[in-house]
Amino acid sequence: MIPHRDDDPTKRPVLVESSDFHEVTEIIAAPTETKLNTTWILLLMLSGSFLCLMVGLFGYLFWEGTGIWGVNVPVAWGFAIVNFIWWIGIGHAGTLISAILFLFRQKWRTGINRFSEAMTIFAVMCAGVFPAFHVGRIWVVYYIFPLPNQMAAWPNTRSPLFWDVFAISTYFTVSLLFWYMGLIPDLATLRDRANTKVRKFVLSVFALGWRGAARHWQNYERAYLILAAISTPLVLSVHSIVSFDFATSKIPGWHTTIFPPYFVAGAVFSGFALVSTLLIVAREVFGFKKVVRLHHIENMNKFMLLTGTLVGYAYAMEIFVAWYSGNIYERYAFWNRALGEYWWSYWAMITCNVISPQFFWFRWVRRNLIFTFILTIFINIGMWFERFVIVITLHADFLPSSWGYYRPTWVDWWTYIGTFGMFFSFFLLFLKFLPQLAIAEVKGVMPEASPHFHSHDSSNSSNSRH
Amino acid sequence: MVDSRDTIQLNSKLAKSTSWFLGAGVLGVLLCAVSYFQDAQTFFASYLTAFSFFLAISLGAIFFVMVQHLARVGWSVTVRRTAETLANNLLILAVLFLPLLLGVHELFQWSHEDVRLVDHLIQSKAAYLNLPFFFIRTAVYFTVWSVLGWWFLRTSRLQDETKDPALSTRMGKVATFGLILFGLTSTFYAIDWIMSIDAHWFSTMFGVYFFAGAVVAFYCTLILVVTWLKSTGHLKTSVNTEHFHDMGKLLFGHNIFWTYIAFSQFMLIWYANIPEETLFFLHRGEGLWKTISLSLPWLHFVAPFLFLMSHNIKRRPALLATGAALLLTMCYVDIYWLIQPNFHQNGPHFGISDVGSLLAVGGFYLFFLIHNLRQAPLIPVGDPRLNDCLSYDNGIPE
Repeated sequence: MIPHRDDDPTKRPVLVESSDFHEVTEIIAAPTETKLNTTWILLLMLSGSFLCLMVGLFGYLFWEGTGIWGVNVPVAWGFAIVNFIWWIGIGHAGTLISAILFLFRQKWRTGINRFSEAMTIFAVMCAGVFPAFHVGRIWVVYYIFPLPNQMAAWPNTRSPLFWDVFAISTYFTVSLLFWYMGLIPDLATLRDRANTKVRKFVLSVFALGWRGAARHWQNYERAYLILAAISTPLVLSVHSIVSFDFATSKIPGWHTTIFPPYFVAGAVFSGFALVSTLLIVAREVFGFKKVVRLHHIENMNKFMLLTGTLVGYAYAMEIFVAWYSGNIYERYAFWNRALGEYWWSYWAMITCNVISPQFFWFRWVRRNLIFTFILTIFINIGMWFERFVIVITLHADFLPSSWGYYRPTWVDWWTYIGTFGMFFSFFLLFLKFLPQLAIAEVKGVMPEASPHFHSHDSSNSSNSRH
Repeated sequence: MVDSRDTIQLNSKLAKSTSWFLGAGVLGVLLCAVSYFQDAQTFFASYLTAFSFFLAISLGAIFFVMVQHLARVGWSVTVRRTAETLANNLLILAVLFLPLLLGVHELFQWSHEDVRLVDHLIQSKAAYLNLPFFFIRTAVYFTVWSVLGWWFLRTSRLQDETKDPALSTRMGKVATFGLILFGLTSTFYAIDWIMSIDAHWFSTMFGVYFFAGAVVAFYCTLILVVTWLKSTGHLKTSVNTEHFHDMGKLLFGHNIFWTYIAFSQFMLIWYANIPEETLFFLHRGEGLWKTISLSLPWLHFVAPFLFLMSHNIKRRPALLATGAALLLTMCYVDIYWLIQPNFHQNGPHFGISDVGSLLAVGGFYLFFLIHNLRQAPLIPVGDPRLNDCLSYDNGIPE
């Protein structure tokens, strides 16, 4: 059997189906240079109204207090933390693609990195609103920072929730810088193509005087490498610290040492799923098929298979060690998760997170857009359930008389749905006003970009070092 | 193409050095025998330590080989044969493992009927911790590892002759299932043969911890073996500065991963402060054990982290190998620290049994390694990605 071109070990896969730099610029710049279209406006209005709903519900919360949420003793952490972790997790794929895959020289990342970095930033913003409002007295939210004050009141540095503040704010800052820095050469490209004065002015400001000089590129590449090196530990640290929120406690089912890498694997898993969901649509709508090939989708599916299986390993290890520990409370926590009142959420999690990615063992599924799209939706749902399952473990705490059943209220649901409005509002603006794929980076991985491309006696000449 | 003037066949002069390793192995066996008659338990503990250390290197190697095929890696082709041969050593390890079967009662409290009868916790784990199941599991681990180690080297050597690219595709496919089997078997080896020595203690991270250390130990060994081959006149052009740089980067990265896992495990147990878990660290926090515990963060992480940071060091084989040798020593200390405090509560007891076990396992391990390196070219000459590897450049000005 002749292997597919992308799988042939004697060749490198084609990353861009074009041999013309100008064509690549045209493809990627086109959506930002055409007139606003009606569908886009309608979608923006729709997401905007959900965003308003979210703001309104936070206003209601601000007025009324957390009593309007379903949280109560024993489940004192409900949707807010579930949604927070879910959104934060989503962001991780962007950082993994932009930092770790860069360090591992995975050139195919250039086709998807800009898109997923944008997703990271918006997802972190959606995540941030939950803890911000969950503090209760939002008007004194600045107390989460160690600011000197006349009452000499300081945050509790021993609390993982306080570590979260730094983990998330560092993550957001670095992701934003990384994203913006990558955008500079592309903004300059758009600036040079701009045909109105206003557009040219705005793009000039944000392109920071980029002229594409050799020195600019040299500084750019060095900065890119440094930012990648800074972001790489962030991919692991952010979700590890989020997992500490649970794992530092003594709650059975929460306190387990595998939590940090398990949360990281889950985060990357859900992040790739959402990138894939969005990208499958975007490449159809905006005609990016020459730059985001099936090869890219397939690679992301392989990542989902890998991280989904790692998450499965963590589930298995938790259950095994819960039994092996001989601790009856630990054993009960897991028995109760699988067979107790919330059995449906546990099995939804297992089905979506462990079973559904196993379809990606098959090559035709990995390269089938409809299947991939459906499976990524399953994964997103499954990863939400994972956090739900962990959080509602609280419903059966140490004191059986206080056991209860957590029910989210309509406010919980609509606030969560409202964050989608926030996410998609930003995302639609990004799709319209910024280059969705990294123009310069995509060109960099085309064979034509090699300085040896035109010396035609093939591999031998390119082997010699200069 | 490979430079025709490059030496890619192990020269016979070097091959003679195998007798030294064989000699070391025999000497080790004698020392082991002496220590066994002094104190059987001390001997078995030492032997398990030395054995697990060399096993970790080969497990790291089979992991590396499978990942290279799965991810279709180009840069590593010329060092992969060394890794394949290290992985193939799982065969000799399966033999060297056999003496440990005699030491089960010395090593594992839970294997004693009388202990089980009075120990509620051990009783509640009896469905897992019982001798028949334990031996079956162990047999499965070594079968899986031997088959994987043997198959990847054999297929790669077959490709030397046939130059068939389809073999690369096949190795990539086998690697997928192989990695899953590897993940499960190495986790449960760590649980069975290391964690269950203290049958009351448990940690969900333990398998990952052993794995992380194994990969670090492997990269150190790979760097050392490749440096040694180069310094004896082999692989002059096939392995160049770029490859050392890359191996150094991966060692650096994986060592940070080990630290991350080690820290997470320690921090969560320390923070929650639940007696059944903290005992592990309490045992290792007394007397000289405390010094060894503290040496792990400083010498397994901080010192290598600072040392390996600069590309000037990673690109100089002599310096990189020095760092790798020190870090490899710390990998041994790490495994020593996992196993031995269970047997010598008052402090480490490094003696004739440890030296003997290291010589015995290490001697035969290296003998087998060189014996196998001799049988085929030192690089996979039939690999379709060989040119990618030879022409790779990190783009750092000399």
